[in-house]
Amino acid sequence: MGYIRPPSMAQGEMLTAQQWNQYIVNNMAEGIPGKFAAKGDLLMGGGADLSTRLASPQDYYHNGKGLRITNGVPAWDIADVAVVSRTTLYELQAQEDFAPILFNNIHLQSDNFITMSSNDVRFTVLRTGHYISSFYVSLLTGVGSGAPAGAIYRIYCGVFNSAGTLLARYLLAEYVEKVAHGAHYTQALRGHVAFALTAGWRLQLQITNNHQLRIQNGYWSTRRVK
Amino acid sequence: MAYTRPPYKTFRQELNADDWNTYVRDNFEAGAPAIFTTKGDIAVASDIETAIRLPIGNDNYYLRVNTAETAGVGWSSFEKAKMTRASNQSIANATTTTILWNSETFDNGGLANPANGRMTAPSPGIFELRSKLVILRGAQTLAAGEQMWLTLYKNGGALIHLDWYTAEVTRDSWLYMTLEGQFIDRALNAGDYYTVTLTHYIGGAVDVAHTSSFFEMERV
Repeated sequence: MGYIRPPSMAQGEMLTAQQWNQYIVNNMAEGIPGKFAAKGDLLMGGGADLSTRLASPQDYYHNGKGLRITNGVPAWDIADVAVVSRTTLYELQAQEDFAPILFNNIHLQSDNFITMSSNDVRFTVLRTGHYISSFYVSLLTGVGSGAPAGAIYRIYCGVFNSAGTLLARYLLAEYVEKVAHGAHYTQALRGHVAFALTAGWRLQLQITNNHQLRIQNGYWSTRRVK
Repeated sequence: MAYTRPPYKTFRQELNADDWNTYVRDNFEAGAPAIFTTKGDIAVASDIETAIRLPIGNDNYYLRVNTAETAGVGWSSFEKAKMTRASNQSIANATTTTILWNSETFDNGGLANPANGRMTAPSPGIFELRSKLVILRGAQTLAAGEQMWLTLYKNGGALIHLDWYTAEVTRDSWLYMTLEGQFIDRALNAGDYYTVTLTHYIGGAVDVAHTSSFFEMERV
């Protein structure tokens, strides 16, 4: 089915069933409101004399988003966003190998943004664009034999391409123990980074710690801003 | 006038007045451009095969998905609001206290309520909440191990800590501290509201300064 431009009729000519079916029934089905299928639909051109239904997804990730051109056609934007959190503490032995921070709870995500396994958490961006990544992590230091003055804890965001090759690593926050202590001090680290990412690239929040510590709680979010 | 899908006709079946009135006249009346009344109108579906007129919005409004609208879309500005304190707020020791943001800097979309310090989601969706507290020492020293933290609440319940500070060493000459953070959350319902609280164990009351402290909410 598709819209077919009706011909002119001559004086005295009768409308046939075939003409009715084509120019009334079928053409109406290609227009407004015949083509509408659900709340929020708009009708846009798909070419000359061709209409295409533009659906508006009625969900959390589209609500409040605007119409933008994507791949050459109008489309409703989506909030590309993911948030993970840590709800229970876990211990990390001293290491400087950029260990992934192991969040254990998916707070929210659009389009399966998050890959989470027992030893890795990654965000994989689905659309090329500009993104902001933010984190907050509460550290319990002085675990075990106590923290020496000068113990260093650093948190990075690693950017990998779709093949898993590390492209860049950004230092987001650093904490250095000012004095030696055996008590468990809770220290919060937080930071942000903005970057241009290509569809398929992956992000991983990483830590180096030259002294044993516990990660108590925290969260990590990434969202597209353009 | 409602749209009614016209039936196919068979060979030599006649077109009668009812066909014309229902399937041609009424259907045209239920569609575009017959439902348009004003420049800028858009025809939008409110349901299957049902079009309604969406009047043009205000200047600088955007056409956006809005599940709360009959049309499922609507013209509006991007929701974003900021509140601050009009004066310092005293926070007692060892008492989780809600910050009463009582001055509205801006409010696009009706999120801010300076009467109770809440940010409220106007409709379901994803929002970023940001807050910063500048905390004045007053007469308090800060002993090693003393703590303060900033927490985001949702609908009256603690949602997540935004920041946490522990003094490693005793500081008796500090002027101010800052706690700040942001979190992205999904508001499931229109009316879901957010507040921030400060909790500290410094030994005596401190002030949240009206200068530079803020609470923001923005749809993402």
